[in-house]
Amino acid sequence: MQPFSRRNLLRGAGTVALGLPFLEGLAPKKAKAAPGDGKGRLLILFECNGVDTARFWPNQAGGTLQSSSLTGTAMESLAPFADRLLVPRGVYATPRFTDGTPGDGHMQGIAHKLTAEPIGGSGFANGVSVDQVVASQFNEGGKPALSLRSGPESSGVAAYISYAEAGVPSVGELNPWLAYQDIVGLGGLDELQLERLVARRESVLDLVGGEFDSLMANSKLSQHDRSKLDMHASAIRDLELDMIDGGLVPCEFDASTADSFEQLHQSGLLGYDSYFHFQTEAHVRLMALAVACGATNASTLLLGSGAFGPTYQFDGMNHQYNHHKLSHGNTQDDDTGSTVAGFEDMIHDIDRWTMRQYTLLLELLDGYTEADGTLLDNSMVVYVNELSNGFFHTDSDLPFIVAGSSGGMLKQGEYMEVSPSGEPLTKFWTSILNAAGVTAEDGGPVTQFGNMTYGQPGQLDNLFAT
Amino acid sequence: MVALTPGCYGGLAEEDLADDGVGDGEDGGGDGEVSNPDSLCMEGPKPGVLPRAVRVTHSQYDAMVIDLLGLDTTPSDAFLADVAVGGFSNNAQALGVTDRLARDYRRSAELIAENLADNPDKLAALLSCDPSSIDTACAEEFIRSFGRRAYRRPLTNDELEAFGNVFFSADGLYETGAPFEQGVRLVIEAVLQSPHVLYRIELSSELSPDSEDLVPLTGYEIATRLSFLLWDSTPSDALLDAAEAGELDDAEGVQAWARAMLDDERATRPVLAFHEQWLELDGLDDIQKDQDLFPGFHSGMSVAFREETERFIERVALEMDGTYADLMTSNVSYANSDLAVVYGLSGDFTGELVEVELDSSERAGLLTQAGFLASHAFSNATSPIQRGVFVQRKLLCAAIPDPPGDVDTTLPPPDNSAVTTRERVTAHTSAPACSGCHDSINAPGFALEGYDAVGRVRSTDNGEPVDAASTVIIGSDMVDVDGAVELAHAIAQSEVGQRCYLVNWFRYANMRTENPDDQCTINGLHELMVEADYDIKELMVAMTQTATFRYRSPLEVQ
Repeated sequence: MQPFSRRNLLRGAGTVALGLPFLEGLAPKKAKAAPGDGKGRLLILFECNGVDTARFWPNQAGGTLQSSSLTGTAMESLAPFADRLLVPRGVYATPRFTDGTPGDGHMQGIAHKLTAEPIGGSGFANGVSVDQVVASQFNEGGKPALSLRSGPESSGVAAYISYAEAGVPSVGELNPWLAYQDIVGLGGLDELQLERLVARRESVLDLVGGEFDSLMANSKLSQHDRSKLDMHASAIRDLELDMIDGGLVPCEFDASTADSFEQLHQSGLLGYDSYFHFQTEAHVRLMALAVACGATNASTLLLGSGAFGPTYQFDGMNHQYNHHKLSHGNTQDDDTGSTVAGFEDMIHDIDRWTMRQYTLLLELLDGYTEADGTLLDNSMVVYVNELSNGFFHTDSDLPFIVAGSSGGMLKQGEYMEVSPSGEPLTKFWTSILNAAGVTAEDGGPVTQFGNMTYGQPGQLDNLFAT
Repeated sequence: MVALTPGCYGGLAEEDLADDGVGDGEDGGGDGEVSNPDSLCMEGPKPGVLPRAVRVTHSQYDAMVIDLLGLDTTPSDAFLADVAVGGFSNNAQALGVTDRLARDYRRSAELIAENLADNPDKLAALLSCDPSSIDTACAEEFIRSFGRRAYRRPLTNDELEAFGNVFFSADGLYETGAPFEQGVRLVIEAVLQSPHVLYRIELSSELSPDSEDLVPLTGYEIATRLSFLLWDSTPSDALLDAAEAGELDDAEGVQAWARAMLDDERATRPVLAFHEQWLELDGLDDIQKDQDLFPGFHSGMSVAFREETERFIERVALEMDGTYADLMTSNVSYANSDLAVVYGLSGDFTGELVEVELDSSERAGLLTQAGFLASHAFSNATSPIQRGVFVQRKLLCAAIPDPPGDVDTTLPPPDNSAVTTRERVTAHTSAPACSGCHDSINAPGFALEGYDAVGRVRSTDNGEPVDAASTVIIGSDMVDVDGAVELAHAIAQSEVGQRCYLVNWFRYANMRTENPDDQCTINGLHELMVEADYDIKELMVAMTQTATFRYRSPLEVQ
């Protein structure tokens, strides 16, 4: 392993504390295959339990996406961004097999969506997720992607979408204030407090890091033990890197936004359905800041979890039953209850609400300007749902929306069928990874992603700008 | 150890699934079939292969914070959750520090140290001098004694020096506190992030002179295994003293300490942790029932259900010196006003649980407790299949696979030919493709049909009399039972049931799934336990007496 470095720690802290101008030398080195090959930024908003498919999609034939065709659909709030969207139809997934793959329909679908792998023997998805692939190539030091989730604490596979590797989920942080503090490193402290905290952490890291070094040098340890300790030690090194700053803006909110985050934390109500919208909006703001300030180039936000809530009783909704129950139009999660009258309208209202969160994310990203466009232009922001039709647990014609073109890589303002008979998820993600500028081991473009038993190699050429 | 149910189609049981994909899958597999187990005993028992660095579980972390610092908090509530393997979350190979857990540990260490600084009494309890002193010798004494308890061995000179440097560099690094207090605080932050604390590390590697299959552990390593098994936490000073004095160097010494440790209230922790995980008691949280059918049922009852079962386990295992059969059949339990309704008890009850004696013709042990019955049922109906799968998988260790993905598991509605739940389940699962497994699943579920979806005794189902007589497959035996009480007794007395309980303890105690080499040890334990009537405390003591507990294997996890 690499020795623990004090330098990173102090350098990073100084940037925050003293408000030094952006340090060129610390900027992440973009490992691009060639200039213009994508911007290496991927944000994913992930919803569970499917959508009201009848009112989700634009009201028009394929072709140039007209903002007017979004009126009356779930995507209505996206109208101002119509010319920045790519809406592909016909992507399908095959997570549920009859060959003994573990997990119920929700578990399999959720574990599969960002990995294109089934659940493996570990009980978790059998491969890395797209956000972590992007993070490993484009984040400073290969630092993991930021994983956020709205909802209550849950340790089930149906609550994990992001995977560092096969069987190793990256569990979403629920508390935006704590996640914010991790990102700003040492926000909210005055200069002297900051110096002290840095000195304390440095002192602890010197001692603990030395212990890891000497343990791993012990020849009695097996490779298993060594790699386990190395994983821990690497995570500690990531903590050092957390303090590095170097994006478009400092990793700090204005005081009133930071206060609102802290109040959310102090409320003790995070995880309750009645705070789900506050939690989600804070996560969305954090995601945008984290990418803008260079803390990460990849991030996911999972809303709720599969086969579960929340119950939407805010922002004009007053539902009696949780999201999963409504998706099945039933008063019970196990479908043993009675039909909920008008459940399609309630699902549609949820879809509209989710799209407003997605819209907010786009607005925030569009507010940051780089030399060659806005941060939105130079990112891909993908909306993903576990299912298309939640009532039937349909995995075909999945709802995907891609906003931003990764610096012109993808078509924009386009509503399209990917092919008459549909295309597998594996090819969709291969396309997104190539648009991001991810390279395969040989330095060339990515040729396949996920499990080829249930998908196909290759990308969807028609998503790319010509 | 796992009995393959006759006729059940080939597939993976949860143990198999859990076993694959962990580490490098080189632990021998959980359910090896042994054609001639006795032959494996010829060369003497072989300890199973364990990693040399095993991360403490979250419950152990919390217990360490209590035992080391006197702070009664549960910091792990905010941690990335542990992953369960084979039903237990203490699997030595699966425990790692991934994702944000290192950050969780740092956050926790800083908060705990701050918390301690705000608690002068707790702080003073760690020190042999006044925290306002500037006594160098006292600082060294603190580092030496606190470090020994946290590291579960004396610190080396290099370690003492490193912590001394940390201690004396702390002055001025906090906004408040005397210099000595700041030193203590920073040392605690470092200790709680040390790999020697967050992992149980075993470095012994010398072969025993008596056997090339055995690597003796140091006294400190034994003390650590003992305390984590019997207290789910770090050793006490007295136990470390015993290790230092060589009292743990032979089986008798270990046994004497194990018995003493089981009399300590800390023994409640592993007894509850084991049974909670084996019996999947998390499933008792958040039980919901149909309000039209069960108008009195409210969500708070889940809490009482779980508390009842936990108190019952604690009472049987630790206070009554009870046996496995007592767990399965005792009619002692706990009830509050809600549970009294479920159990049909008269008398004055409040919201508080009190000990009660249930009608022994209606209730016998865990299987007839409201929590199990209600959590293994639908919101509006019983589920003989959920209950039956639990009995076969958890209580009898049978390899029952999940249904194939393309099977419609929804029962058809009642009709003239199938009125009761039992009749509907029978009709729905009688096709040859289903019956292979359902012959073993349905029968114990049917024996439990005398209890409704919230656990009340019932005599009719959909207007027809309940038929709770069935022939239950227990291992390779067919046993006729009429109702839950007979079922519970049949399981309690069966070797398959006893061995299943034993094997689950074996997995928990040794932090791994069993492999073919363990057959000899497990057989020996079973014989011992039959003599001891499967007394639960005796079983825990017996776990500390095996070669696999007292030694390492010369092989390493690859």
